[in-house]
Amino acid sequence: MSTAPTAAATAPHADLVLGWYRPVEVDGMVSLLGVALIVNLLLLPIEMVRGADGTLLHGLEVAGLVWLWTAARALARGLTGTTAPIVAAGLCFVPAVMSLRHAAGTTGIAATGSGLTVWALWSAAWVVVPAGLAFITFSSRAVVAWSAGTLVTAGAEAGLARNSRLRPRIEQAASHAGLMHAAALVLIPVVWILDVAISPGNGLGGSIGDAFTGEHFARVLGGDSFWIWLRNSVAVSLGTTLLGLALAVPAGYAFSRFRFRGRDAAMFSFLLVQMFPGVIILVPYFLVMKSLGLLNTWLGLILAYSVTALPLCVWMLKGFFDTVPRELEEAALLDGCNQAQVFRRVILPLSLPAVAVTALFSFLVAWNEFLLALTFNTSNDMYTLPVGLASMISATGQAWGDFAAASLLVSLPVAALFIVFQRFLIQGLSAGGVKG
Amino acid sequence: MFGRGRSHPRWTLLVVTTLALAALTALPVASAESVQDITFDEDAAQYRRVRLTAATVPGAASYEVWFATAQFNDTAAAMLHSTLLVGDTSDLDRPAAGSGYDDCWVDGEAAARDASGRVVVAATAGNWTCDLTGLTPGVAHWFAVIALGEDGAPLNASSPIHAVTATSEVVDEPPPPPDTTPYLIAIGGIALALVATLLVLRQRDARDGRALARNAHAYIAPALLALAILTFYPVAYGIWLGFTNAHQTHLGDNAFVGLANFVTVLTASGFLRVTAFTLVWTVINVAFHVSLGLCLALLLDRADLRGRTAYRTCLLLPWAIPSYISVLVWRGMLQPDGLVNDLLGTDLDMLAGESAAKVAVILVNIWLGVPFMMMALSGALQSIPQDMHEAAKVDGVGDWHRFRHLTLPNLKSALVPLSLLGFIWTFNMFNVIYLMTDGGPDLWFGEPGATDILITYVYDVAFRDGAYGLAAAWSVVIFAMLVAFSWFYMRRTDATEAVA
Amino acid sequence: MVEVRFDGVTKRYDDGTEAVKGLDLEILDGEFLVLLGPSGCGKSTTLRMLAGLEDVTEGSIFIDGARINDLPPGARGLGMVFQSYALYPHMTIRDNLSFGLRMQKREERLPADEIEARVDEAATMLGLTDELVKKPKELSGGQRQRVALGRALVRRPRVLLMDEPLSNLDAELRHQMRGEIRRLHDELGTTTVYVTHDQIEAMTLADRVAVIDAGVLQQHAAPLDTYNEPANDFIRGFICRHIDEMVETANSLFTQRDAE
Repeated sequence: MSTAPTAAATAPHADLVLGWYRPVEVDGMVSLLGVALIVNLLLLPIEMVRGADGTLLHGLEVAGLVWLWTAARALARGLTGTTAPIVAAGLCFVPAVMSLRHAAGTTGIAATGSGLTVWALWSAAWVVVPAGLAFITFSSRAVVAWSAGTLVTAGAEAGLARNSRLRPRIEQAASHAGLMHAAALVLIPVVWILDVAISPGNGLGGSIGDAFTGEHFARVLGGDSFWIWLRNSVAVSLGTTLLGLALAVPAGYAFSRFRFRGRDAAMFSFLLVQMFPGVIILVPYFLVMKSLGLLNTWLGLILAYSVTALPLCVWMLKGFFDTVPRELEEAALLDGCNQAQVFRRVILPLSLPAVAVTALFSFLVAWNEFLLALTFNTSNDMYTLPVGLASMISATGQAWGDFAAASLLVSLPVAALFIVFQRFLIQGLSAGGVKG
Repeated sequence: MFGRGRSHPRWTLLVVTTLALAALTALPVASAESVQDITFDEDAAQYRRVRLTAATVPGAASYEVWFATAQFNDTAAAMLHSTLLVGDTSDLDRPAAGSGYDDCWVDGEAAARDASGRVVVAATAGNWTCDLTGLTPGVAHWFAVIALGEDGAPLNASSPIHAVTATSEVVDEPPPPPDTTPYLIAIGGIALALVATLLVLRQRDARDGRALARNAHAYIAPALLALAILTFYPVAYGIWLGFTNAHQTHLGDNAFVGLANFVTVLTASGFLRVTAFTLVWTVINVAFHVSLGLCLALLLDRADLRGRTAYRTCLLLPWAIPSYISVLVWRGMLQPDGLVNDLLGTDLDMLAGESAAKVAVILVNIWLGVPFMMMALSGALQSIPQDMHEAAKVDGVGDWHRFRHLTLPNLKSALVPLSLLGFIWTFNMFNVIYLMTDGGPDLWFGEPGATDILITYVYDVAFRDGAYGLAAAWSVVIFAMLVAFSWFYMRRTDATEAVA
Repeated sequence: MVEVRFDGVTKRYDDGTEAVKGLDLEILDGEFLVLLGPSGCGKSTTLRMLAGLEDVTEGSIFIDGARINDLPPGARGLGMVFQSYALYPHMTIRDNLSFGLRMQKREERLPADEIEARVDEAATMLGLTDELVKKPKELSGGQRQRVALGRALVRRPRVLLMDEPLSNLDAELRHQMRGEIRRLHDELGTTTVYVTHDQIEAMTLADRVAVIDAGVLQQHAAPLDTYNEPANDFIRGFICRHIDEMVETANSLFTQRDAE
């Protein structure tokens, strides 16, 4: 049924069109069934954890999907008719419905009454929906006609037109399906933590959205600890930003503008430091800070963080300065300014956006850092926010509700800032960095 | 037996004296058998601890130290602080002071300990001394020591308990920082050397006539100084520490021990296990980060996708939210009464079993790391020329082949550095393990736990055990592993890129 | 017999702009047709619609009487040379040339030795035999252009499409390549559709030229016929006056030279 479009002689038109035409739904269905098979295979171990009955039924579902997928592929290659896949699709429904009934009959753990948990519904959906779509697709007129080989040229041409209309829509639907699953995975923890923050009691348990209370926020904001931690984090982060910028701006400028002896070695050393993992310097850092009396102080962390963020800041700023045309400086030099004046009057005002982005980046690095803060500042009134929040969930006492409230207070502004400025951050990071 | 007649006062006196003597000899033994004479060494008192000395009692099988914050004469009103056993000490270890238990000495020597760490006093010993810890400072405590027999009951149940008081008045003063001079000298030396180098370079530049770059060295000097002092110096110091026996209990008093620490590290029984898990952890994470990130980047790449910005913003959240918060949130969700169990309808503690905990931490780290890869690969995808794909389309090359032969090879230049970065970051991902399971479940005492990776174990060695020298040796070994891997990786990928 | 026919072809974008308006055009078998017009007139869009890289909003395109509107690009049996050459940067020249042939579905794929033979043939024809092991970035502009040409030709296409292939070359090279392209056409006899904005190229290469302006076909005739019998004012300006001015400038240069 296929021709060689690369043949030197022109192929008869009918053969050409008929040879190339295949309803796009068939290909789409084969891909969807493949994905459904993989998903259900991944769900199998989870079913095994849940219990034997669920495993058996799920195993039957997987078997049904394997048969359906193989039949669909055979159909796509023109090896079988549409009967086999339709029957397979129908058969897939059986274990799926059985597992739903089984779930509805048992008692669930949470207060859902029945075992018809979100899980049961979703995992059944991944069998029912593909099988259902397969059933509809393979019994549709277009596919049956194509498969039976009774298509004429006009029909094939109409089919081709239909293909080019349907194809983008199918691809869009598939993209949305995939992206929505990813988005759900990302949003579920967010929704949950919101719920914990406004549910009464410091334990977990209870379903989403039952009772509401502001007690956690009141307790967190009313107590001293949160404000102490906040004060420490703000001090350390601001200090890091200021010190980091003071160090990075001149260095980035020098790397961008000047050619001087030792430039390559210096740039390489910045790069090298970026690759040093924290592990190698944690212990000596701690001891040096301890001996200099800088543990449990702001200065100790500020120094440590400035150096952590320094290479990336220099990189980002250098990348930015590279884009500023030299002619501006040369004009100023010709006008009689010296180098320092050029820097202050011409370069700095221009580079405010880049400096702002670098400052934000520095600030976020310091704000979110956990390990060094944990190691350096061990007394409660010098905890930064990360360590403080982590201390709410310790082995001895787990105040989930309060923790959730504090988390929201900390993470929402940070996430908002990050998202608003993400494009600039990524641009800045890739300006010198990852590409090639 | 006794004659009739006049009374015999001499006999009575004899009987009474004998009885009295017997009583006298018995009494001291009885009182010494239960309640010990204990003394406190005021000079040796430290923050939250006092030093108690007691004489041994023949026949005792063990000693119990009881204490309370008020005077007591019944153990019901007090708490048991420590137990010391009496037995054969010939085979037992005598760990030096500061090894982590309450320090004890028998007859002036370090006390012998059994396998569980309890003190064993030889039956022939004269006295024993112990540092009793855990006391509230500034509060008077009363102590009594009771000697017990083989049966576990006090040797003399009727002897009254007199508790003796002692208070740990010592205020928590951090020990004076060890001499900072060597550090300051080292730092100063480095700074001077760097400044001198920069000046020399500047000289040479001026001599070569590069006037425009005259102050370049001044511009980079502060940053380089900060780097040198706060990164290169600690690295060098860390390497040196690995060769000493630095420990929390004797700060500033480090002795050079050569390769002993490294030998300990490489022969430690948990070394292979924790390294294996670290490698498994890293490889699986990076593989999924890259593949899932690429899938998402491809899905987002379609120009006609409605809501693309909304999806992208949403999918960035794991990167935007501070990682320690996300990790703790996931930990909450995996609790027996957390969300995951709710959705599944089960009641399992996902973090309790060995394999379950490993799977859980890996899945959480995948969740955390995919958005960054997605963004980086998105950028790389957009920089691939599109006309190449058009040419292939006209040539009749199918979608999958176009992806495999055109897109992927052109992504390689971005994938190589990205996966290397990902490898290094994941290898050292402290937050996830520490906050989810703290390396647990802890099935092997004194060794890395089931989900410990190298860096979390180093943290434990350094800051829980206080063995700084050993921890530094571990760090050097880890760093060497990373350097070796990076070097091989770069070699291999550069080589193949040169050929391809 | 490969004939290409455009029947009322219109290309309209979402915002309503029409790049091509009701184009009726017939291309004969073995003909060298040049689509000529100023920038943005819709000639490239027309070519891309023929290639299948753009959708046709209205009308039909026929190759050999078969309506190919919805046929995927790879099914139409065409070869295309892009303005930017669009070579595969990570592959050798040999792999570039053989890529399309190697990626055919197994049932339709040519045997490996035949693929090699065709690549060698194209390389000889275009003088690229020494460059086969190099990568595109090691080649000069002219060589890359020839690789792009070769890649289109190895598939023995029914119709060869060329989208301003010479505009990235300098004048001398352009002159040389013009001759080569025409020579190849005469040798192979492939129906060719060539897009350019350069009147001289059109004049020297075309069997017939189709002049397009603002999406509308202005004239479709042999090159000299457009000069001698211009169909409207646009042709007069775009072709006749342009050539006249060129000849005048050349003449005045010669007169100056002779006078000196």
